[in-house]
Amino acid sequence: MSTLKADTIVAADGTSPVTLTKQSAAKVFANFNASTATLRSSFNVSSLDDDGTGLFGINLTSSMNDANYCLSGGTGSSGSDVRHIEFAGNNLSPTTPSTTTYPVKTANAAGNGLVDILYAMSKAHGDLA
Amino acid sequence: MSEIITDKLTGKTSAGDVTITSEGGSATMQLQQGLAKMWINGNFSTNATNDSLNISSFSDQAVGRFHLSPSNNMSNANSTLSGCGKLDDAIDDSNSVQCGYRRVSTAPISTSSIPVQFTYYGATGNHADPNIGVAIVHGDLA
Repeated sequence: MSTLKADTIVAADGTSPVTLTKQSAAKVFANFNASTATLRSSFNVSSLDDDGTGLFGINLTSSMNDANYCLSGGTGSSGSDVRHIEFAGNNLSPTTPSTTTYPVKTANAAGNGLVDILYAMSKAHGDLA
Repeated sequence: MSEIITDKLTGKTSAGDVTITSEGGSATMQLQQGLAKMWINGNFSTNATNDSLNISSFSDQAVGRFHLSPSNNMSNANSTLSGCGKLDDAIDDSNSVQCGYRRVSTAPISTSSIPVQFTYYGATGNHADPNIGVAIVHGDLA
């Protein structure tokens, strides 16, 4: 087996990204306690905004190339029912994802009430700027 | 186009740290951190794995509750979980299957066990064994 040792890999022109045989790495992930608005672990996250119960803004260290990236997430709760996480616009700013931040909303199982859950987890795939 | 054919990439200064340039060329990121460290696509009704990465096994704890065991452990219990699922119950409504950490404290999240639950929308939430269940874990490997 051959092993290539390098600290940085770029395309042959010295600046462009390399093609990883069509693989796509996550550009953002965050695991946070929504009740205390504290990050447990994250990647490419500069800070977490607490915009109210169940409303959060995830601010990025390195910007995305556009606002059309793909968000996904998951939850874990110690509450009395099963909670879930949504990535929808709300009445607070920012209302839609941008290249530098995106809103996260955590709701109850019925989807009709915002709650602060124990484990809120968010990911983004797409292109970095 | 130049191409490097190799079987393994290792950081020169730090073995677990290889930096790559962003698509837009204005930023760099650590390659390892962006990669999914565990994923599984399984039939959680029959407890069969369709395809997976870094999953040695999973155990059926109860309806909608499963514990995933990695082949190579995570470095801490703060991994980020996401997922989705599909129920073959012939009900074509808006209830979609979601994946999250299992709720009970007796199933702690650890470096060697990821307790997940699959649920679908309901007044109080309902656990389910999806015919297609997907769980994806990001974070750091040990």
